[in-house]
Amino acid sequence: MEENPFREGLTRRRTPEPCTIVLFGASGDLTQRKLLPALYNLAGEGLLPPKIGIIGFARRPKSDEQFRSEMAQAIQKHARRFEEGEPLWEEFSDSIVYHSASFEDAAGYASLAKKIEELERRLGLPPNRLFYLATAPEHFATIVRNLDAAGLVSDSRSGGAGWSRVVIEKPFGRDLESARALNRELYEALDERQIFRIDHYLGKETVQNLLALRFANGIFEPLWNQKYVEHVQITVAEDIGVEGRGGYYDQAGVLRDMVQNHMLQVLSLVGMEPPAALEADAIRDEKVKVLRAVRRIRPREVDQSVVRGQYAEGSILGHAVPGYRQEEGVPADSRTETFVALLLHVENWRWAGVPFLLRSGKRLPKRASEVCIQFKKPPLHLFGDEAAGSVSPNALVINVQPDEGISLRFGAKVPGPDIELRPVKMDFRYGTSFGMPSPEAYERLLLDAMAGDSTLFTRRDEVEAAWTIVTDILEGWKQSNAEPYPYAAGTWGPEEAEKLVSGVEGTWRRL
Amino acid sequence: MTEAAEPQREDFLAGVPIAVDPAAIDHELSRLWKPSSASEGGETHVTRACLANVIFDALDEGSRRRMEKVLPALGKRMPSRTIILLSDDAPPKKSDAGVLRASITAVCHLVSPGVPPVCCEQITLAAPPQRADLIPGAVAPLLVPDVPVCFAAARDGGEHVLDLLDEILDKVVFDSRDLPLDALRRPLAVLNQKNPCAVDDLAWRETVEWRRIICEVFDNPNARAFLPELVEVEVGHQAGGASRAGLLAGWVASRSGRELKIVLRETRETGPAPGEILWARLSTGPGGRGPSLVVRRTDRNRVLRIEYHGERACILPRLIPIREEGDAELLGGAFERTTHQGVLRASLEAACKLTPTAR
Repeated sequence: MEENPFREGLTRRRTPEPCTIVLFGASGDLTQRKLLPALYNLAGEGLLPPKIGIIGFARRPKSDEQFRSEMAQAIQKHARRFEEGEPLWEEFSDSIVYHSASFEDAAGYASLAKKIEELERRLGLPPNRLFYLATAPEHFATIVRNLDAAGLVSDSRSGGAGWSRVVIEKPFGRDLESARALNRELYEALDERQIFRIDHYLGKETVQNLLALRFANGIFEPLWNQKYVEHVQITVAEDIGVEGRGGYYDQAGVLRDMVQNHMLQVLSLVGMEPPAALEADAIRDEKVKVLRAVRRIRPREVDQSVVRGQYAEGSILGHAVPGYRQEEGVPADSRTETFVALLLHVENWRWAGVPFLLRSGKRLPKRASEVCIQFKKPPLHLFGDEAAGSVSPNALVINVQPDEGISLRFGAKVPGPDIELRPVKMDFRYGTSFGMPSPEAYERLLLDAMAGDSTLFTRRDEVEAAWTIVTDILEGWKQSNAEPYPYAAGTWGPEEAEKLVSGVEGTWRRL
Repeated sequence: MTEAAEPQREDFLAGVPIAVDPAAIDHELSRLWKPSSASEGGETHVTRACLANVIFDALDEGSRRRMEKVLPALGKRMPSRTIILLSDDAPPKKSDAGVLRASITAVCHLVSPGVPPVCCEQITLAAPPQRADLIPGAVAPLLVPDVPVCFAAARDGGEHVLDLLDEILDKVVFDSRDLPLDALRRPLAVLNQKNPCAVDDLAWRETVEWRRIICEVFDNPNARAFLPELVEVEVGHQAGGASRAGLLAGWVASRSGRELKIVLRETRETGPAPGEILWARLSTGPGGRGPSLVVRRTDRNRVLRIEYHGERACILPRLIPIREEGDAELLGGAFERTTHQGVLRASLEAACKLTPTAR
């Protein structure tokens, strides 16, 4: 059949094939705040397939009507648009049903299979199924095993019609061993093409723009290496505390919660070589090489390269806030880190000798995430030591949130008869240059999962390479038995973090 | 800056036009943008942004009214150096000196709380109707380098200004939305010039959702079997201008590669704006008979509904919400986005051959 004659001149809007989405953990916060609103936003943009089925799966018994009504409220609160009675909602809600069962109960999956088939018949859907595991991590393997036993995750390659995919939320394991075990469990039922390990950071426009910045422009890439870069700083700062999730957080800590996934993903995008093609595996091949090139921090060396902290009471924006150990659900003698700073080295041709400084924490002065590429100083102080001293090294800063954009700092001469230099900044801001809001990360990622595009999802080897880095650190902490350094809420972490920047030009950035 | 000049800067940032000598526009802009020592870092600190040069031909009354409606939101959608060309009805002068009158002001908006407002500048040039020849020489030095030069053509007429400026333009945008089919000859004429700049038309941009939906139906290879049987395309539109309907029908006909019968049907419904497309029917038989694909505006004009009347199960019924774009968003999109010139030209040519609308 010839190509579509109407296609020329129109950008291809990826509309996935019709499918059924089963949301495990349908009563949970993620489903209500992010997933359903994201699906409705996509429907509002005309980006969903012509027909779609949605099944909420959770333990609590409730009727389809009850579930729809809860979802209507959640969508009204969190989606970009919603109007009761609008045909879009009428059609969308008609596709939503609820299934009550326990994650462990095999019979619940047999009845789920029937419900899916019923819905597919009623809506005229092909047997394409997306299972979204928005549950606590301990249920991941059980759910996949039960889906397999009920014949729900067989793929077209094994002779079945349609496709089935499983989206898995973070955290993916607690350490290298558990991540490997989970991967092994998943591989019993699924192949890698069916597994979508989500990291919502990769759905953010600014993070995706890292690839565009580096590989769609000619001026940055020639400088993007050890010859010109002095060091790289990646910061993910939160001003909030544990927000009632003390019980969960105390089992995780910031290293598992932020560094293993979001920050190492960003590091791999900053450090990767140009991919052979803009395709999922080509990009992920390059990312994993970076993670594998990170010099391992042996447990006995952890104190030289990693500083962990825990917030004590303090104040943020004039409000007094409690210390971590006073938070609900947190043991009074907790050693869980709420702040971590790391000094990493990527040992490859491009990055040899360039420190990568990573920092993340809770109850820091503000919510801000950025990547800063700090360049080396010029080889000669042509303008004299005094003038040169007043100019900070060039820095390219990629603001991930909240004020998304890119800025470049450089030195300029202060007007006047004397040679005086001052740092100035060139700024690009998404909000200034594009008069339209960026889509939510979950919208992009859900659409990609439905379309089978795994570029922005992490592959098995990436997850395991990231856990290898992190598990060494966890092991070191376990062996040292030291307490995390306290820092007052509303500050940039413990003073001890300064020792990590002693060998670089400058200090931790004040955001 | 002197202390006396500070109130003038506040007026400028507040959107009050400041009369200036046309020869000193850039100088005055530099002066007014520069924060005084008193205001530096203070409340009047702003971010100055410029993504394009946008020239508005507002020499006639209709274009001026449209421009006034669209400008504030366009400054937010696409902060640019805007140059507005107005007609000056003051009595003619003997020499060229002082013939052009100019004013400047800023357009500012707040992107988010706590950060300086984003501002761009607006320059107004008023020329007597008989001295439009002075415009190119006044506009050229005002253009910001390294960003595109976009021209919002007069609603109707204004070809002489376009001819005068065409050397410096990167893109011309027409607005034929509520005009008769004949208006489409203007963009076609620019496209048919020897070295044309890029062309777009808001009437064409408003057909995007319709074109996309029709196109997506035929992304399915099974649905493409319908195309060789196609004999007629009918587009219904609200009274008050057939250009959008003509462009959509012209697009279907030119892309299908077949000699199709084109019918434009004018109607009067409550709600739709003048000239809006109401439905499109692609039929395999004359007079809408035989299997047909229908895209129809429904639910108080907020949704496009796709229906297929025939036996092909591969074309599924579907609802697509219409993205509501204001004039500024539409115009910003036309300035900013790439339009496939070959597809537009073929659609314009097909539309320009059409006879007036059937009722």
